[in-house]
Amino acid sequence: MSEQLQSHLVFSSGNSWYAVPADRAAEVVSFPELTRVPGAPSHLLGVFAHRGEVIPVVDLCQLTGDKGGETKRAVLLRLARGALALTASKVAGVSLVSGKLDPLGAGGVHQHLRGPAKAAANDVAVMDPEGLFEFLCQGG
Amino acid sequence: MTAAPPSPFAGQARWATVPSTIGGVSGALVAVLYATVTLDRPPGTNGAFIFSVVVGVCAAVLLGDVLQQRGLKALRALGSGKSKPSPDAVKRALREVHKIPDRAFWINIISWLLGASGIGLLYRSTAVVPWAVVGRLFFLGAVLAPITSVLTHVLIIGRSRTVFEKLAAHLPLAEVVAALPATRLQLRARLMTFTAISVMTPTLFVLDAVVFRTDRAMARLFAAATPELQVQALAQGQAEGLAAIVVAATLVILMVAGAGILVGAALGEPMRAITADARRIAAGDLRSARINAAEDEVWAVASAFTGMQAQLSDAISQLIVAGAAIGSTTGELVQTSTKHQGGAAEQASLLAETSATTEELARSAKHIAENAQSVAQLAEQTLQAAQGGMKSAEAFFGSMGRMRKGNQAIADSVVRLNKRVQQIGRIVEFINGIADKSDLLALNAELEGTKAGDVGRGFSLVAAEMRRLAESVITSTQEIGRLIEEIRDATNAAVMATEAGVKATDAGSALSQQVSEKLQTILAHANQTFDAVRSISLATHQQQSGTDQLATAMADVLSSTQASASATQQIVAANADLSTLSNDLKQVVARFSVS
Amino acid sequence: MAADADSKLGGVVLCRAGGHRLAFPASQVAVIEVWSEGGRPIPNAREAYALPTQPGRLLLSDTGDGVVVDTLEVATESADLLPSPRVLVGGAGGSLRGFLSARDQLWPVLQLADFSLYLAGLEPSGAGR
Repeated sequence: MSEQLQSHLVFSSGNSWYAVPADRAAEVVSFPELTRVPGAPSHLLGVFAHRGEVIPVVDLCQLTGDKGGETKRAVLLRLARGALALTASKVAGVSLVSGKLDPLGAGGVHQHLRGPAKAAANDVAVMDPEGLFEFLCQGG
Repeated sequence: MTAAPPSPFAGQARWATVPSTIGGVSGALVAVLYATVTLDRPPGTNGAFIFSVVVGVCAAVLLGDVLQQRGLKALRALGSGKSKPSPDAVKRALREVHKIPDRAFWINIISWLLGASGIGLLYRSTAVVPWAVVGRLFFLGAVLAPITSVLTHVLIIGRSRTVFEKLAAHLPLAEVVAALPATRLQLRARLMTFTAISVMTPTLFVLDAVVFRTDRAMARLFAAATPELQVQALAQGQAEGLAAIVVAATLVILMVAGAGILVGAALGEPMRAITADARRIAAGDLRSARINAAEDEVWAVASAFTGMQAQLSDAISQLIVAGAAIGSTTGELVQTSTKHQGGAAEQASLLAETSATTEELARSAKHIAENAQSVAQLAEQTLQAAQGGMKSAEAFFGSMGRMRKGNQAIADSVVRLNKRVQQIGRIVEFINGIADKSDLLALNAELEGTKAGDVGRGFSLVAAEMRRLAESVITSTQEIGRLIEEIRDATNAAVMATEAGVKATDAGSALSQQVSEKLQTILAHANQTFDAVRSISLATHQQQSGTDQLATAMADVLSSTQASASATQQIVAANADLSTLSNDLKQVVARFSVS
Repeated sequence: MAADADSKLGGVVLCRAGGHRLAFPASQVAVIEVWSEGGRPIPNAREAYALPTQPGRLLLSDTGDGVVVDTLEVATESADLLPSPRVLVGGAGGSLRGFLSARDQLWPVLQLADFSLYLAGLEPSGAGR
């Protein structure tokens, strides 16, 4: 894909850094105790209510098979088809991302991660929020 | 009893007196011969004369024999077996036998005198015979009686000696000697008698013959009427009966000579026997000590000699026994003393060893005493150390108590500090929460500002600055939190340490208490040990002196034993000498043969 | 999309199973019984969280389907049914109807009979998920 310069919210989950387009990132939240949903996959940590809305929290580490520590912070994505919170160990802030945006994998969650790209001297995987959302809707 | 063995003395009484009969008959024959020549018997009386002579001689002989046999009652009793050959019986017999020659002498004389008298009287009673004839017959008997008696006596002496010696063989020599004490010392009288008889008998015979012939010649001379007849009568007288007188005289002389020879022999016989015995003894043969029968002084000599021989034999026997005993004793003594010498040497060597051991013991005792001394010093040091340790333990106990108090104070302070730190931690946490929220707010503000594009850029910058502020606060609070955490860890560690310290001091106190108690015990033990060691030291000191004395005593004993050993050697040498002497004695004694 | 009839709940049974929250519309619960080990083989809500079963309460529907929970309470006041996020639609065998905010907490609201069936379809003894 073509190289572009766009504002992204850069955050880490486990040891990996991710970047989501700033316009998709609604806010960074600190989520309360989650409610587990029976029969839900393990990367779906649970849901929490946020401004009258039920937000599911997805653990990117479990989704990508990465190791990660526990965190209470998440990046809330607001998409056309609904909201979604992604766990974030650290949030670096809004940065301009440069680099290629080729899919990092052929299947699974990695087809919705692109790169290689850099943001604020970090190697980041640029996320396709809609693709990820669809992937999750189909059961992960 | 009929089968009893014949007595050894059977017939001895008869045998002993046989010479009396022989002598009597012989004397009678001589007398008859002489009488036929010199006796003027009335013619026609020859038968009566012969009858008288035969009867008289027989009677005399019988009388003599009966008398003699009566003098040998005990011997006859022994010979016939009427009495047992008991010592007393034998002694009686001995006395009889010893006396019998003298007794026979006198019995012979009596017999002769009685016989001659009897013949004369019988002759006169059977034929008419003048008293002169009877007197001449008595005279003849009286003249011939002594010489025949002497002859008979001498002959009987020989036989009685034989019987005596036979009897004596049944008695111990000493008893024989004791039974016949040599009290009658009549040798001189006997010899005088014998000499007198020897001289008188021929003299009287010659005198008688001369008187008779002279008388007859005178009578014929007186009877001859003529000188021629007188010469004829003288010649006839000279010639007549000369031969018979010569024969008779010869016979008398022969009798006297024989008697002399026999007397000499009878006297000399015991002397010869004694001489032979003396020679035998001189040659060393003492086996057959025997008694030599004799009379008078010779008997005294013989009995004394026999006694001497018996004594000598006894002495030699005892000497032999004693020599043998001495020999064996000396041998034993030599053996024993040799053994003793060996024993003494062994003892000496053992004692030498013992002495060495004792010296060693003495050295050991000294060593022990020294060791005991050093142990005593050690015990004293231990006692002092224990006392010092006791003080140290008490001081330590006090220190522990103070330390415990200090630790408690520290623990209290640390607990207070921990509380403060926890309060600070809560405050910091609160600040941190605020900072976190500020960070989140700033982050979202930045995000919103970014979304607003250029309009919101300034807002974003402020938000970013706020965020950095919040982050620095978070970093600081995190730092503070870490510090608090460290402080908490440290204070926890301190609390634990002080608790441990308190526990340790408690334990230390308990331990020091125990140590103190133990030290108390040690002190008591050390005291006891010190006392004991002092006693030991004293005892070992005494023991040392005792052992020294023992060593000295042992040395003395050793020297004594060595002296004893040398003495024993001397004894052995002396015993060897004694043994040699004993052997010499044995050899000397061995020269004598004792039964 | 959200029908008004559906968006309102006229009372719910608030249940807990191994520390997790569950809610069933009170209208679906016919009877509540006590259930103990060795009792009737009823699907246990713990199995949905891969937890071992334990005695509890049995919720039975009119159709006879039941679910065992640890504890329960009934909230009588009516509450709004919050719609389920799209990533969770069709979860729990399609028995998830939405969420309920009660007691300052969020509760997943489940269709009792469907959830019972869903649990019965899981591997026995709740070993799987």
